[in-house]
Amino acid sequence: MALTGAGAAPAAAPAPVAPRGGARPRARTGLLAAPMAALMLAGFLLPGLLMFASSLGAGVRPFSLQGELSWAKYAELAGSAYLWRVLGFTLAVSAGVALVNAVLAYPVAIFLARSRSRLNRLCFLITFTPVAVGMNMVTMGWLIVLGRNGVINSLLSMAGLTSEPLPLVYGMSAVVIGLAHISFTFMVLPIEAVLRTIDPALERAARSLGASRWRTFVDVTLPLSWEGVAAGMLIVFMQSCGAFVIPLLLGGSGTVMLPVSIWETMTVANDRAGGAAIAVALTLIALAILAVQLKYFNPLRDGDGR
Amino acid sequence: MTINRRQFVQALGGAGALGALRPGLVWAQDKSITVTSLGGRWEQSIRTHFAPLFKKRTGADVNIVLGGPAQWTAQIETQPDHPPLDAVDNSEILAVNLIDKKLVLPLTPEKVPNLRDVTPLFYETWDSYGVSYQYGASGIWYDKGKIAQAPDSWPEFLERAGKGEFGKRIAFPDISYPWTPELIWHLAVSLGGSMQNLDPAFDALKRMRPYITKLWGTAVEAERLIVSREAEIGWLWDGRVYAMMDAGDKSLEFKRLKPDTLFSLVPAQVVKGGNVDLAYQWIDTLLDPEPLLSYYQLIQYTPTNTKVVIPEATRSRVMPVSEGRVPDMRELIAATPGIIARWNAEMRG
Repeated sequence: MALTGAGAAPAAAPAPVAPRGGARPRARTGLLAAPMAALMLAGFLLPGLLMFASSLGAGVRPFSLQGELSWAKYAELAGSAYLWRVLGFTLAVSAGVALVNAVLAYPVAIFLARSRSRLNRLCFLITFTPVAVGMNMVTMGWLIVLGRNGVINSLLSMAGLTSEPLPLVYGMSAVVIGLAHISFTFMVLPIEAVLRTIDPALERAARSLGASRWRTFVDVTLPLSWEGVAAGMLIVFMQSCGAFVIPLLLGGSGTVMLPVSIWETMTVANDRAGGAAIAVALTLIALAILAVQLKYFNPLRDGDGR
Repeated sequence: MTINRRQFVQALGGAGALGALRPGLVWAQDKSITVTSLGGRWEQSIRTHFAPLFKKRTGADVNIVLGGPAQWTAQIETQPDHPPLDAVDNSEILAVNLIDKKLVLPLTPEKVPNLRDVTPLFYETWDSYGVSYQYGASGIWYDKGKIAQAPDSWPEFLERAGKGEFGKRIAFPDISYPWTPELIWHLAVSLGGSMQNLDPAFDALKRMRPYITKLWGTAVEAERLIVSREAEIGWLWDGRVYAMMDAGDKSLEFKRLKPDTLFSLVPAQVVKGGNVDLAYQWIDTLLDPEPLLSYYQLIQYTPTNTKVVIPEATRSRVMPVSEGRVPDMRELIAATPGIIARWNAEMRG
């Protein structure tokens, strides 16, 4: 018989029910991640350690490191005004590409997340084309478009607007265009994913309280989607920092980026340790920026995923 | 500052052990040999011209590792006891690296009979630890429709280019291209300089710099500049240009300039610790007149075996060995870091 009334003792709160299998689900989740962890170990961590060893002057052989180890290449790197300039240029261009891409990608992401237009699928398709065709094809495409005898110069010439071809390629603008294009997909998708999670009622509430469309966007939509923007910018920034083909082919002598310097150091100077030191420096910079992103923008940091 | 090696090894821990999981390359075996090749036409030639003859003579299969000299030498250096390659087509500079590290074996006429028909320059450059089975010659390519009077000498080319006579239509290699340091040496020598005095070359290049439409980093990029006509004159090796001319580019022309020409060589080397006997036979096959002729007809680089009979139609293209120059490789290796630093400061500054 159930106890009721004021004198009745409160019913005991039900004890939390442990999930069946105890800690096993977490272990299973860990097992699911094991293949990727193994891949990262073999394809990133181990080569990274060997690269670091090479940068210290070690001849890396199975089970052993040969020769004296020294920080000399890092000292050379720190003392090279040229490499500092290249590093600064690499970071500036990468940040610029991330920023340009964010501005260009946001409207596309809004359209993809909110529109029910039949053009939505076509827009998705176009968004994926840089990934689908690949780095080399994108680069060749821009060479054809921007070249001296390319599409744009031909059109300008035919229209009588120019008498001499414009120098559209082999400079910084061509590098930024190429990098922005190849990484566009990786900027759109994180923003689009976050926009889908924003409750439209919040924006409707702002509008009903008299906020303009622009004010609603600035005060409601943008702040709520900021993590997607940050994630996209981080991916694009890191991709651009490591880009080799586009700066090499679309750039000029004044637009050398760090991966090209690594290539030159390893294959022209035949300085494997020097090239490895630059590669390690670039990796550390990328990891430091990743750490900043995880600290300030990781969407799971306050949530259940911790 | 140095760090304790033992501590470092301990810190790396399992990394070394995992390093023992050697790359899945094919190792030397009795019935096969592992060799190297650049991609594209080079690979095609190795597969269709050299490998079948080698198989016929030895019964052994040929495994081809595609890539480039920097990758191949790294693979040999990291696994000297079990080299993943038996023979390697190296670059002129990296061949010296392998010699200095005692990772390659000497070539002798007893082990490589075809060596007797090769001009000594092509193996003495590496103290007989490598032999180039072909050579390219440097020169200028130009569009006959645009350049009415091509220069005759390197000094003339550099002077006219530096005055803007060819417009901003010049294609020239960047320092990213591995042969640029020896090109700079060659230009310096042509202008009265030397490996110790590269000023004449850098001075001329700085004057030419405003008229260069693109400093290219790979030969494929140079070919694209020719095809697209983004440039109308430039520096390149003969074989690549002749191949493009033969492919139908009627307004393209190639010219070797005076006083002499820079060689492009590909020293083939036998890797110590590999399948040595078969590797010697492979090098001998690379020097064999029969496949070399087919190779020449496809690639257009000149065979070094004097027994190869060049077809009459293209005989005039072949540069006599006496007109070619090659730097002292050890001097070049020593000078290269300085050349790169100077290029970065003066050409990219």
